[in-house]
Amino acid sequence: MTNTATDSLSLHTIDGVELRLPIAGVGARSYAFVIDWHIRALAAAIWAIGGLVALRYFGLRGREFGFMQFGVALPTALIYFGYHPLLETVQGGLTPGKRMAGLRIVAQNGGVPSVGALLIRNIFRMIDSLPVCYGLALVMMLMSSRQSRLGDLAAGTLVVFDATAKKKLLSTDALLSNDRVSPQVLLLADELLQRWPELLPEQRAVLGRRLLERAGHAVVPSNDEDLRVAVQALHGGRR
Amino acid sequence: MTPVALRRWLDSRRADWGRIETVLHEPHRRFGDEATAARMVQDYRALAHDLAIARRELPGTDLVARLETSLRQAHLLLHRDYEPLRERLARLYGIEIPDVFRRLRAPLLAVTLIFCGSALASWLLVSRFPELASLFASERMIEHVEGGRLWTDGLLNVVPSSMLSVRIIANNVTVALMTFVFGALYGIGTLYMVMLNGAMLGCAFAITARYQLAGDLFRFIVAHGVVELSVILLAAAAGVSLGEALARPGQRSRAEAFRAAVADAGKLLAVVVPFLGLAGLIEGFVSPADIYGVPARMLVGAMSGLLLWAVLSGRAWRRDGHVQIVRRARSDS
Repeated sequence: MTNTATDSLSLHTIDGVELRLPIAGVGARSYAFVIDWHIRALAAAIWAIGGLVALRYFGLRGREFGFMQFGVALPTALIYFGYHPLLETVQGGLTPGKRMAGLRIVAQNGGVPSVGALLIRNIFRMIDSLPVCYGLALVMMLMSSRQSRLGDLAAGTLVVFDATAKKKLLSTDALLSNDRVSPQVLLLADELLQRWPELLPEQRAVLGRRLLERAGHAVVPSNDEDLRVAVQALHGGRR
Repeated sequence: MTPVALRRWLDSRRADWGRIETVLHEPHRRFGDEATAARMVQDYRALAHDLAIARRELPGTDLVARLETSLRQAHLLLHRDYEPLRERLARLYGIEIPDVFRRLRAPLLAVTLIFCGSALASWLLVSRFPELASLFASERMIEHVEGGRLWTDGLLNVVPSSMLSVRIIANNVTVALMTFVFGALYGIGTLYMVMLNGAMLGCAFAITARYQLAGDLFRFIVAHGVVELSVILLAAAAGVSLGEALARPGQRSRAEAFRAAVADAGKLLAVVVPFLGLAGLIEGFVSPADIYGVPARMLVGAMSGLLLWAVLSGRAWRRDGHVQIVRRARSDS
């Protein structure tokens, strides 16, 4: 069973476990798109320029000229327009840009969309890209509670944050490799170090002291920098 | 949970999590036998249990994210609908496509009439005022006709048939998809495409008729035109159905009606768009070749049109074996 709130897609398993997939907003999707656009534009440009240089170098004309045009124009168009449909289909809703932005395309049930849905989603780029620079898609995403462009509405897909792509999560290996402190303390140390720059010095002092005391440290540094070094040492120097 | 117990739990379960992830990431994700399927059910329950512990004891770790992903994938794998490929194709070609084709008859008739009407209007207009030809035809086309020959004459001297076919197929597929997709503008975009294509055809016949070349144009078009125009009109009917779903969603929400219309149209396009490949091959190999006379071309046009109609109506699959599969699929549904 699935339920779509405004900011996340909830999947309820038969055992009553709720799995939430946060829906990506315009910013994250635009970031992924810009990365993808640069990759495909660059790849297409390299092919086109290489082909044209070869054409001039070999001085081909007439029938051969037609062959070379085909060898240049068609592959260039295929690279540029086939990038999204091909990669999303092969990688189950991922492209390099989406991977870097931590995003993934999913079906309404949270699973990998079908090939048909991914193709439909991409065919609708023809209209989403109108009038320029995906203007219609941006307006639709801003107006839609599920941040969907027309292609998503047509194909029944959503773009969500892929939790496994997050980089700041503490790994299971890290929890097990540090046998000096308990996994819970390690987790708190990790969180504190992540938030360290955002906290006020007084807050850092209180939280750092409590953490070190819980970890069994008899002496707690009073200096802010020494405190950070001590928490880092507790954490194993990973951050 | 004490730190020691937590560490022991992590250590004891890690291997299982890795094994389950490997199974879930296998390309086809098929259960080889009953034992494997039963094992996955057990794994699924264990994952749900592990996730509850991880969420309580280790929130914010990659373990929680990994277990959530694995549980979601296992849930979808265990609860998905499964239909063998042969039966899925039988259902698609034997039931779904004929059903969609029947539902699209009214919009198909409407777009055909609009196409013919705009072709006739354009033909009358350009016949009466030849200077208007440049509205629908390119300068190159007009210059060729004024020189007493079709723009398609000698085409094979410039481009080989295979390349010509590829270029034509790419162009026709783009036009068909644009005609369909622009239906999302409440059908207006699709109607514009239909009227434009009708006007271009009418204009082409009007300017060629002035120089006694209309017969040659018909000779060129007749072999590939039947399938090509049929597919474009089917794409247009599908596009109009999108517009109708948005304008008159009925009991459903606009988004639901739109998605259902796209799903229906998507199935139809998946079946008919490959016919543009056939039309492109005919246009590249048969239409520009002088060795084929008008009767042969008409026969090719009629046969290809008949094949398209047989596929759309489901008659192409009504053989004994297929009938049984279709009946079974129908009773299942």
